[in-house]
Amino acid sequence: MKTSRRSALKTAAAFASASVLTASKIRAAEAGDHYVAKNGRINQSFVTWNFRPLTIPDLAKLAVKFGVKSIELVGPEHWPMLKELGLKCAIAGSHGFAKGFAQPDQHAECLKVLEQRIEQCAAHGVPTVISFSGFRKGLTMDDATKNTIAGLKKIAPFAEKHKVTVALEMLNSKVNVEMKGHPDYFCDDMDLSVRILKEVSSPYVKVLFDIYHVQIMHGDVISRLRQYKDYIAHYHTAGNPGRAEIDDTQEINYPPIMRAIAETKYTGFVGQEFIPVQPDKVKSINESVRICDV
Amino acid sequence: MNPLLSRRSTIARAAVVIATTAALGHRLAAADAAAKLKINHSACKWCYAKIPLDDLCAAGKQFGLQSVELLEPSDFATVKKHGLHCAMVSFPQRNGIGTISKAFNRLEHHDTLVEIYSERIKQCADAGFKQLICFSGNRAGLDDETGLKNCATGLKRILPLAEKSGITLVMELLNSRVNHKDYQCDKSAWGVALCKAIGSERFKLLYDIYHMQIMEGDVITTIQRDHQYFAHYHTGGVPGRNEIDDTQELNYPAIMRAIQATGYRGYVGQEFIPKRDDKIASLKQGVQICTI
Repeated sequence: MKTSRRSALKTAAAFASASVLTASKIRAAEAGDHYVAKNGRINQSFVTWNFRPLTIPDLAKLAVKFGVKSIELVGPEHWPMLKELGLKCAIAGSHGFAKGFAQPDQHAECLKVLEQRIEQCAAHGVPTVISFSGFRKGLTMDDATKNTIAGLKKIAPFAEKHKVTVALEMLNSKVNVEMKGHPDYFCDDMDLSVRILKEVSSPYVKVLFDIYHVQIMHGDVISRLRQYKDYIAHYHTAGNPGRAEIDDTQEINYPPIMRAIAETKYTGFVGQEFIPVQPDKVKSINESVRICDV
Repeated sequence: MNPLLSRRSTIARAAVVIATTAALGHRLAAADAAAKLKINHSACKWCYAKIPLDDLCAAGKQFGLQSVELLEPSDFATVKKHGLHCAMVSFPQRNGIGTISKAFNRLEHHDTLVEIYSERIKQCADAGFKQLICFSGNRAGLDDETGLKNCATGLKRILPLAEKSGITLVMELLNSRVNHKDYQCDKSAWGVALCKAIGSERFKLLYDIYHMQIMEGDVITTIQRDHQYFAHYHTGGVPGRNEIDDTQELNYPAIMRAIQATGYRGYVGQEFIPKRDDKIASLKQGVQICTI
């Protein structure tokens, strides 16, 4: 009991100090000396899990401050707050990446979550919802491909009816570090993703082009996003290697990639999904906004 | 004044001086080591086809170019005249054998290759140049496993002479998606497997950053993991193989820092095709971008 209480106190203290730290950093950013997106060629958005301990409301305030228009992959319970701040949710979360359409016995569960989320998206003007293939678990490529096509075909009419796009995310299967890669994830290839989408053949089923994952699996980012522009519903960012800041400490030169995205006439959003390693996360977030505001 | 205190303080001061000197010594040694590991700059001659080699050498020296590469032996005297190195000597060929598409992956090319590479190795050794490029050739229906075996068989016939002469044979990794359709040595994993099959310090790979970004991406991780098999690096903007500046998707300074951190002591060869009119200015910019 004693230990438990002590550890609870410790956690509370750590939490308090983290919030104080965060609050002071947010205030520092609010005090000026920060970059505000102004060019309007790329609509930016913040993913939230990667910026913890910043909270969703913290990030929403920063978005407003930095000229960013969306907070994404957050549940419907946050959408009224976003709306109040004049923000969008560019893409809604749904079932997690561990389950998906590669596995027939997971179809029913994924469809149930997606249908409910699509209805909510339609009601709140959220244009896109995420989906995943899940893991391969020993299936042949052929079988996993067929299963994924079959699953997405089941949700396509519902997505079309509600005019909400389902975005299948491609993830890297090479990096064996938690939340930096997903070994055995089935849909780890952009060519494969687009082959699947061509079979599903719905304007409301597309791919989430995560620049970090694509760089790890394939490279040739600009050529690929030009080649597949008609199939891309959303973009994510992060530095490589490491999924950290998108600045010049890593190999992906983001400004020309953003210009290439703008040149494809893309009107959707680019979600910042890097995990800051610098102590001042707010500064890193602001810097990412500047880098992508081409 | 307490003499003891005074003495103590003198000792303390002396200790500080000694410690400072030692620290300074360390710092100087570290700075020296870092200076030795600066990226050495080279440029590929073919990217400046309309500029006489003499002019390219003279201009390059002004901004720190230390080598012009992919030279034929007939060019050696020119770079030497300027006090420049040739970090990678061009390939020999006879009736098309030895070129990118027709090389070591075919057994029927080996007799010719042994002959022409033996001669070229001697020319390199005589000139004091240490690295000589070579290619796998195109697949032309050959599977990767057989292609690898054939390359190893052919290269092993030449390596005794290369080892004796202190010349490294360096097989280039090229992209087969855009520029060299069907080229076999198009993935770093295949090249590394070939290095392991051969097992000689005198056979390594040319990791062309442009080509490998097109084929596989994940540049820094690959360099960190496999650098012991990479004897040379090339640059180029992606997409398009033009200037390596902010018009393309690779962040070259970060990649150069990763190369430097591996302890690399070789050269980085600029191998982009300048798009702008002032090609020498583009080369200068490339060298500056890779100066870290």
